[in-house]
Amino acid sequence: MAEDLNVITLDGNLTIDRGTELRDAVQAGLNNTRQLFLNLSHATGADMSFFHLLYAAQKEARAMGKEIHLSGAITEELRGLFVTGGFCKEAPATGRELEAVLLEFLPPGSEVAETGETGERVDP
Amino acid sequence: MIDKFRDNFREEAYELLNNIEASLLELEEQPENAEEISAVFRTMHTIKGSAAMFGFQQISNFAHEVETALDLLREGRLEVTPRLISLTLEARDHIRSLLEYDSTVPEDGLAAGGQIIAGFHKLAESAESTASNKVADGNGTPGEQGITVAEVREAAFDLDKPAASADDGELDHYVTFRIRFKPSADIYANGTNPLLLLRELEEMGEFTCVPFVADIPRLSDFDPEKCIVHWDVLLTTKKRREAVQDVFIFVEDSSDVQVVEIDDLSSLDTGEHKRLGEILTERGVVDLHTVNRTARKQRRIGELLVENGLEAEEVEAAYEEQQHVERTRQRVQKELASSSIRVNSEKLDTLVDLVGEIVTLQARLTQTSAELKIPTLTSLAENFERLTDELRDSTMSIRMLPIGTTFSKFKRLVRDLSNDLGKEVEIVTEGGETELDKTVIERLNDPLVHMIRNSIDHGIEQPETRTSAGKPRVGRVHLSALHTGATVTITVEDDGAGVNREAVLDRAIQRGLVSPGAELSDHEVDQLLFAPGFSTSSNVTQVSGRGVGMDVVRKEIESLGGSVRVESETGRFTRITLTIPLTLAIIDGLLVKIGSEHFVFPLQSVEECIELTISEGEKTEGESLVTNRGELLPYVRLREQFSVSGGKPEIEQIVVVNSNEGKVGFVVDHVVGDLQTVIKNLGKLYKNVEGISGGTILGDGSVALILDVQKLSAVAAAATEAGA
Repeated sequence: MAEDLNVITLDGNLTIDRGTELRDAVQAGLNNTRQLFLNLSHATGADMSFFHLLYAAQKEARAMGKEIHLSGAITEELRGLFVTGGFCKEAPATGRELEAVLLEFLPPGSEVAETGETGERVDP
Repeated sequence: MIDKFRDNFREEAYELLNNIEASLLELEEQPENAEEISAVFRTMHTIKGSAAMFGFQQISNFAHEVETALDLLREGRLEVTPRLISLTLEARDHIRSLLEYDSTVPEDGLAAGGQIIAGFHKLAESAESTASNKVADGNGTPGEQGITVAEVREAAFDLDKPAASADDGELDHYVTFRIRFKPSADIYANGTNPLLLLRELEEMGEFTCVPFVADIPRLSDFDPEKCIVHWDVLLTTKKRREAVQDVFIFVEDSSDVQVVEIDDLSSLDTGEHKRLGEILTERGVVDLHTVNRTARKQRRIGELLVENGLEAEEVEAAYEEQQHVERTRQRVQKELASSSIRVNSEKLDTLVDLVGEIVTLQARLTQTSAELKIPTLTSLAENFERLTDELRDSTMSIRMLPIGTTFSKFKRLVRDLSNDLGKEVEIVTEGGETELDKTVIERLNDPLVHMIRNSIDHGIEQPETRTSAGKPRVGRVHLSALHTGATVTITVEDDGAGVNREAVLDRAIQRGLVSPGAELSDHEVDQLLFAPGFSTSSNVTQVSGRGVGMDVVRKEIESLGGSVRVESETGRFTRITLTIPLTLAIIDGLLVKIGSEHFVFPLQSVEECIELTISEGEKTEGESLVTNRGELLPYVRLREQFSVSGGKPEIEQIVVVNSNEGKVGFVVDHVVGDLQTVIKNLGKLYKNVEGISGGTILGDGSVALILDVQKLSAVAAAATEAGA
């Protein structure tokens, strides 16, 4: 039976050379829990592949009817990248703030509709 | 006409050079300050470009060479060292001297420039060899700074060569680009990080970036090695399109990069920003027909278009574009509105003179209307008075400059002097934003230079002496300005040894200024510093001790209508305080009457007015002293001082003023009231009349003389001393 909550701490440089490893870890986390928390407080850097991963994970969670949340303080090095990439206007200080901003970019419910899994659909 | 432009360039260049100097001195204190490094680089770049434009080719070439070195600094390939700061300051001084020449610079000028450039070359080479040594053996040593004659010649020859490129792709106005950047899916494979490209754009100007993430699949279908996102970037910059495109030079073959200029901010006359529908049509994501049809439904166009199947991200990006353009337009418009214009200061002087005439005329009108008592005329006179007051205040404010412009020069002075004298001194400034009349600021320069020189030469001790006295090794000169009412107080304070009163007294006795055995208070001893030609220094140095100093300072400050005060504590500090009127053109005055004559006291000096009855006057006859607030107040009868005929009233008035001599009273017949006083010079014949600093015209057309309270107080003090 899946646990209710699981936390994965992402540490070090979250770059493309760790892309597959990170994807698999997050996927496994989602498979085994209803609520997955990604703790970013130990992440020291990232590249575009990590941003892709965050969006892909959000979509996956929605499609699976599960929740994915971001937590922990975001390091200085990481904050600027979110602004440069246009993902937020002000650098987020915590995972929670980042999560709120990232969600804005996902068209609500589209993945859920495609997969036919449970979830709330909000019509445009 | 060309000469006029060249003169304008010179004026602007002097200002820019001052900025460079200030930034360099700041940088010396904070070598890691990237902002100051950029500021020096940018300013040098501006000088280079403008110099080429106005035909100062040699300046442009020289600035180009300096800029190259500063670029290395900006890139972190050179470090901020005292040598680099000194060289750049020399370069700044050299450009200043080149500005004096019209076209061709003489050979010695070129050689001087060559010496500086060769110095920069050496620094760059040394930095590179240090870097390579470090790479080779991990233990590099900096190179020697020796420069050969041949190197100087070579550098000087370079300076005389025709134009180096003065154009690096900057426009003289802002433009906004829309950049659509769709990286190829396998962009990571060649080692490119798209975020770094975006960061490059971000550094070019005002930047808004909208990512398109809708195509990112869910995690189970996700290939971490593929890039799925694309971006719309809005960039408002002075860079040319080519410079923007160059950011993508290594990926443009494999990626889709479109750079479109969407707004030109050189003219902002259209004002209106584009509607969302227009932007979307222009972007080609929806046709005009659909937009018009949707718009007829009278709801938000973005919402309706999304309902009709348009990607929400496209609408979001168009909305961001609309906001970006509006924001940058407002900013540029604000910048344009707040930008200044250059006006010849002579024109300002003429304007102030004219305002002075109007103030005088207004006083006459007010007086006439009071006499005639015609309601319409009274009303007109009142309105005219109100407008005149506003006009006067606005005009005077135009002449006001922050004193910080002068303060910044002193940083250099302190740096150079302390180096020459082997002392370690820092200068701390405060209140640089305090505004003073332009003329006052100009005339304050020399006195302040004298005072700071004195502080460093006589005040601040050698580092070893300071350390053994338990003081910090580095001495401090504190320069501050404070606006108080109609005056500005400027203080120069050092934490040095203080005034050596024993030496001052000895010297004064030697010079016959004081009789041997005289007992003087500390204040009286301090006043001796202002005696003409007074110096305690046994050595004449480059810095001070030439016997030209505090007396000149005092004379200059008094000629500005101000006063000087010295305070000191042995071993701790010396503080010199200057009190200066805000302006020299129109002052607040106190109008008084003696017989049929009018006189004006500068209101800033007036402490209070008290009555003097005949009996009191008789009581103290011959002593010229009256008791005020429990203290003896010496006074001068202006009626006698200026030989005014006629009898005095039963009750006279004493105007008590604050002067360098302390409080002094001046006896007048009547105090009429305050007066906006337009100062007029008395002309050559009366220039040297003691006790009078100028004249003003009253409402009835008669003349009132403006009193020089410092001079008159000195007379009073002398009279009291003689009486004693």
